[in-house]
Amino acid sequence: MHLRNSARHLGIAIGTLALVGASWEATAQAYFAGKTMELAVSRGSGGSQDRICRFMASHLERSLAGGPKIVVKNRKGGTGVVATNWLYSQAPRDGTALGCFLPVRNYQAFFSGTAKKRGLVADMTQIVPVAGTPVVAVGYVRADIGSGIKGPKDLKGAPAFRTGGQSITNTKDITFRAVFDLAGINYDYKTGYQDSSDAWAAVLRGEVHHHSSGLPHFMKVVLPTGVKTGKVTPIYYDSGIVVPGLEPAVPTAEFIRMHGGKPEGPLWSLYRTSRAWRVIYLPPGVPEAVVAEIEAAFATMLGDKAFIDAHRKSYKVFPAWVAGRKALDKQLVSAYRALGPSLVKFRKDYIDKARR
Amino acid sequence: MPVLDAALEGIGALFLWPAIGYLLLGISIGIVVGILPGLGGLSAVAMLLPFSFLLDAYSAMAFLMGVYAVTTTADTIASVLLGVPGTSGSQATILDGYPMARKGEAGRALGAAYAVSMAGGVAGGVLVIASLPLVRELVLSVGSPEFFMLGVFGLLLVGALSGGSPLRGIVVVLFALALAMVGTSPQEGLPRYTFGEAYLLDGIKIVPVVLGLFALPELLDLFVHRTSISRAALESARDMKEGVLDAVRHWWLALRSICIGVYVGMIPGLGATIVDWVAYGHAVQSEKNPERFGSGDVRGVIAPEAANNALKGGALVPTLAIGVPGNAPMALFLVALTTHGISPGPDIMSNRLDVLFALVGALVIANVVAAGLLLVATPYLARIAQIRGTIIVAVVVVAALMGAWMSTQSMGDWIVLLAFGVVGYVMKRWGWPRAPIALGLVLGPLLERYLHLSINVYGFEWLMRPVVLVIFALAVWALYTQFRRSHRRVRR
Repeated sequence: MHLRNSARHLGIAIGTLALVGASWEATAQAYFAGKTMELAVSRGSGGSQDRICRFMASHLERSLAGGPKIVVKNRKGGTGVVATNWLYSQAPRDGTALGCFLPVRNYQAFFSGTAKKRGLVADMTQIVPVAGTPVVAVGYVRADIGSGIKGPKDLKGAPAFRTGGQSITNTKDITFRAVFDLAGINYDYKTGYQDSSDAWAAVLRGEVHHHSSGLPHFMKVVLPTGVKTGKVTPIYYDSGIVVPGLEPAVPTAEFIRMHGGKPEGPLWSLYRTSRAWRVIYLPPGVPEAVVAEIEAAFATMLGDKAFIDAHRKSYKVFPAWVAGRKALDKQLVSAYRALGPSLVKFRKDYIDKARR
Repeated sequence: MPVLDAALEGIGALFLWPAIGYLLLGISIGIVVGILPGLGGLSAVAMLLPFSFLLDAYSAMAFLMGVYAVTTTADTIASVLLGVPGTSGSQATILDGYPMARKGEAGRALGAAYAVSMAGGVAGGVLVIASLPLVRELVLSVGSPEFFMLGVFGLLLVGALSGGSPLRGIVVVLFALALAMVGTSPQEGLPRYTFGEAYLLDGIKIVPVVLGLFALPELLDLFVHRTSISRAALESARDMKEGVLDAVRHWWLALRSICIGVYVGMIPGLGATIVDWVAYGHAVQSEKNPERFGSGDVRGVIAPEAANNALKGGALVPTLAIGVPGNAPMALFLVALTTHGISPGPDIMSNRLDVLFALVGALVIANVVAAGLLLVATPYLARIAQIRGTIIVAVVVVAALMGAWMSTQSMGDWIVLLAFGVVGYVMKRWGWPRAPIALGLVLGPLLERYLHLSINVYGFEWLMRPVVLVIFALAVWALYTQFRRSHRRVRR
């Protein structure tokens, strides 16, 4: 009897859930069907940011119920300020507008009270992150430094080498300086290269000995033309987990410990709050059900084999995207909240030190 | 893989279906993109890149190269007929191309431009293959100090672009260098002279500036005088043949310009926005009767048009050989290649030579086909110069607004367009050279970056590097000859 009742209750529950699910499915279908959505990209067309955002848009189109069309629009300017301001204050708040940004500098400006100076009007806690991925950078050095560098350990006792960066406030510059400083490695900091291609050419001609490239540039250019030819050796990468295929490079925390340093203290906090993320946002004020539907679509997409295969084909690595506000708040936004006055001052002093 | 086999395999694959279909489709798209002012090879390749991922490797290369190779052939139409640069690679063509159209020689200008564009594309492809064994040393011998000095050399061409008044040219280029400081400082990453405007954080964009400087004053002129662009009778077909013969007559200038295009293309970072100015400046400096430039001399069309097509072959070289893109569209080709499992460097240079030949083959075929198609169309296109000015003004104003909008898609682009339209009108009215503004805006950021890096990396020892000294000596000589010519002209 008891079992029969339980079975009946379970049957009712499943039926109700199925009905609710079906009705929401139908609502979502109706909601997005025939709609044209906009994905605002914070950089110009053709760059790595543009390409990955377009890639995500093309797969999201297939994952959202109702098959809406997603138009990608480049709203470049001010390293993301223009696009972020647009999403916050002008974009429609019905779920048809999304933004695909590299938000680190905006978070830094917002939480450190320098948003106005940067021209940022958006409240970074109000725009809604729905999917994101850490931007992994791989540090590599010329293999002919000193008596030869075959792995990260060989840097111990090696003569000071020249590092090539992009600008003293660039997040990549701050992170690799922090890694070397925490590891206690001697280096001579040079900066001003336009991008990773420019710095890579400088490494090849021996003008500088080290650069840190984003994972796509590393996998597609540095690995075949530099690592496999024995010209450079990868030594570390910005990730908390082991990424296969980057050997002999090791995660930064391990690299720091390997050289007798400790991944802790304000410099480590600075490193953690300077690491770049690529995030897809919704504007504030989008109805909760619509946000949940878009999050669910991302979650479905990230587990989809076709998406994973296409990502591996295009970017040579397994996709490390995270979906959902909760996960992103934990991994991304909360880290920036740590940017209290003391860390802000520490960051400013650290940048000033490089300026000197 | 033996070189001959690879060449046969790579080029042969282009003639098989579906690669040949995609190549022709790419060429058609490239022609349309080139004709529309403000768009360019970069925008087109960026938009079509995701589509290329769905194709096989040969079709993808043929398609993208078809688009990219011909934009600087088709862009001549807007530069010559409307005085509006079709792409950033055809800015210098306006200086003589548009005055030719006004004299009724639009067909001649276009004929010459297509002939040398085709020659530039073909010779560029051949030079790429010939240069491959040397490319590594060549590209790697150019460091930050050499980049800086090449920028200085380019800047000192200002005299050649100043219509016989080098001093005025220097004043204008200094003004442009000051404008180039607006934006985010390359070393500090901090806003500079932006007055709190987010639009200015990335600096003043070259496309709305050039459209404003050159297109708007001409449009105003057409509107006020209510005439057609050409006030002379139209003899397009005969003129076009004359233009092709001009290209043959000035083969030595065309060849020198092609070499400039290829080797500027090989040096990553210089690229399409300056190569037409460098070739034009070289023509003014090295040719007889330089005073004729700027008033409708066909040599002023031949030099930039030969160079901007040849550049594309040159830019392929460092991209394929060492994975350093010669220019922005080449970075996208790199993405397309790697997505199809082809890596730059040793992989392509030894194992996938067929792909290299396919790319060069597509470049050559695209240039020949596009020039042929456009030559056929020229007698009809040249009639645009005969249309009543008021109609042209309406169409071109829309095209200029669209072209400017493509820069950042914000109102700031239109404000810059209109502001520089006023500046251009005033400069034209009082005989001040406008071209040095474009040169200064393009070279300013490059000069700043590489001067900083030169001092930062090498101290003041960079001044003693042999290549730096040679380029500096050439730059001083170029400036001296410009002043000497100007002085002689004044005395006469």
